[in-house]
Amino acid sequence: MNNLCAISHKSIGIVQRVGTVTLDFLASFGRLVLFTWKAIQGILRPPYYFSELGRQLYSIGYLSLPVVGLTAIFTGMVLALQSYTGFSRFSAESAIATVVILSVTRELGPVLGGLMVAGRVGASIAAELGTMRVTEQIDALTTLNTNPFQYLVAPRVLAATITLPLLVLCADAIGVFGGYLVSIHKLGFNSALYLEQTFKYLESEDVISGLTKAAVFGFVIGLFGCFQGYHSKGGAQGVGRATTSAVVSSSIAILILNYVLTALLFG
Amino acid sequence: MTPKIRIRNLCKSFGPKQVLKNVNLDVMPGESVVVLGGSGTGKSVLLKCIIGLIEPDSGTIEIDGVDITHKKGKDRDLLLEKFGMLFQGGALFDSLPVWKNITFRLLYNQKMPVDNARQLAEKTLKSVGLTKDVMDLSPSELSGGMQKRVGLARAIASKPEILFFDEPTTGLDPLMCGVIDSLIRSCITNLGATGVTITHDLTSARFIADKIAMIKEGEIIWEGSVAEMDRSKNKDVYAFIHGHETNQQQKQKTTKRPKVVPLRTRKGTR
Repeated sequence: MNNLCAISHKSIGIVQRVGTVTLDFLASFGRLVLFTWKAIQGILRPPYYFSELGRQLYSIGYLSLPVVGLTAIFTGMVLALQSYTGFSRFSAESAIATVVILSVTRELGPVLGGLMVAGRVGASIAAELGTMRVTEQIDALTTLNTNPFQYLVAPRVLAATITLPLLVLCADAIGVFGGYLVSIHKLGFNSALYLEQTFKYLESEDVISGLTKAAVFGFVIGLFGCFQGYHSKGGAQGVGRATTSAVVSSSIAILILNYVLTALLFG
Repeated sequence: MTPKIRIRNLCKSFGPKQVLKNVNLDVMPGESVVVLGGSGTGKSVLLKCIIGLIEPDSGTIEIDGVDITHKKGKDRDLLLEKFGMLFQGGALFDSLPVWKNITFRLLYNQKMPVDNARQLAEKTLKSVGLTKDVMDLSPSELSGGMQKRVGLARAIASKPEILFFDEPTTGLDPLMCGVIDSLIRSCITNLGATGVTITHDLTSARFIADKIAMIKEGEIIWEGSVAEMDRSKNKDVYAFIHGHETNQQQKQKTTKRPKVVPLRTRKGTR
């Protein structure tokens, strides 16, 4: 009888915990949806803070270029090396150039670029807004008649949405150049032939789909960074948690959305 | 005369904890009211409810006779133009230089020309005892006292009708506390504004207040002038001023205290 009671108590405990987790998840999801709606309103409705947008374009876009460029060049180089190892087994080395450019523009450019920017920018946005939250700067904005969604969230989300496609465009070019360098100088390909093969099968759709993905990823990075930072609480520890959550949640969202977008665009 | 701020039966809870319990308070135009109380008594929540940063569960807040408790959007914006606030830590924007912090509202919302904004910032800095040398510095380059002064300059730059001060002297040395108190008093007098200050600093309260409202466990338990506060027989007011209870209360406690019988005694003490 006692054992039965203990088991039933344990089961109730488990159900209670599952229920609490589910409710917490739904509450967070609801908050995120509401936050997204307010962020979109902040982007569309005046006043527009152009100086703040300019600052964010510089900080999110220009300052991320070295990280994204470095990622792209090594990705292109490794891709060329790995493709050579595989394709040489059935004498299809001529496909390497096509594989490199298609992989980079359709998949690796947006995804790796997105993940790198999520790490650099998502964390920085969450930390900045989180610090502003715990030091009452966001409250101060409200008392100064300024909507934090228009002044803080909108410029960051908009800047990330605009700059990530541009960064990915640069990453595409740099990645393809990385593949070219390895193919010409290490694998001994003919330069003119390699370039011809590179652009022969490339279609505008390949690049545009990659840039579309990048714009969506940029929006997600900006949004999640702002969301986590805006709702952070509990001093330095809270800011740290918000930063980690921003990077983890936006990285996971990028990977999930990558599949959804690939299925929608090419499925 | 209609009070500038009238609070009636204001309640606010966070989960099971009731932070404000039927708070009633009137602040007359041009009056400087200090809400005095210990830590965790609901002072900050009360202030945030008035400003609109927190929505109360029930009760009403009126400004100039107009109920603003649940006002949102444009109505709330119009109302906020009447307010100026000095935050506990200054809450200056790190990304902006001092002069832009001071003129933020005028520069970004009222589109004041940059030259005029700089001139105004210089003038306002002077009124809080700072020179124009700090205008282009970042807030992180200022000392705590200077940050408070810049925060005060930001609060008064747009000449608001009501000034709020959240623990204005916390974290400052006694000398700087005196300076900030004098500045607060002179700002309220010069602007002809209504002031609401929340603090646990009795010296500041004595200097700033026309009226003191004592808050305890989310309730306003006593109101009166500084002189009345010093004469008050209210046990909570007395305890707050003197740091201990009245002799009568102590005596009552001593007589009520049950006799303690030691269960064990150390060897050799008997």
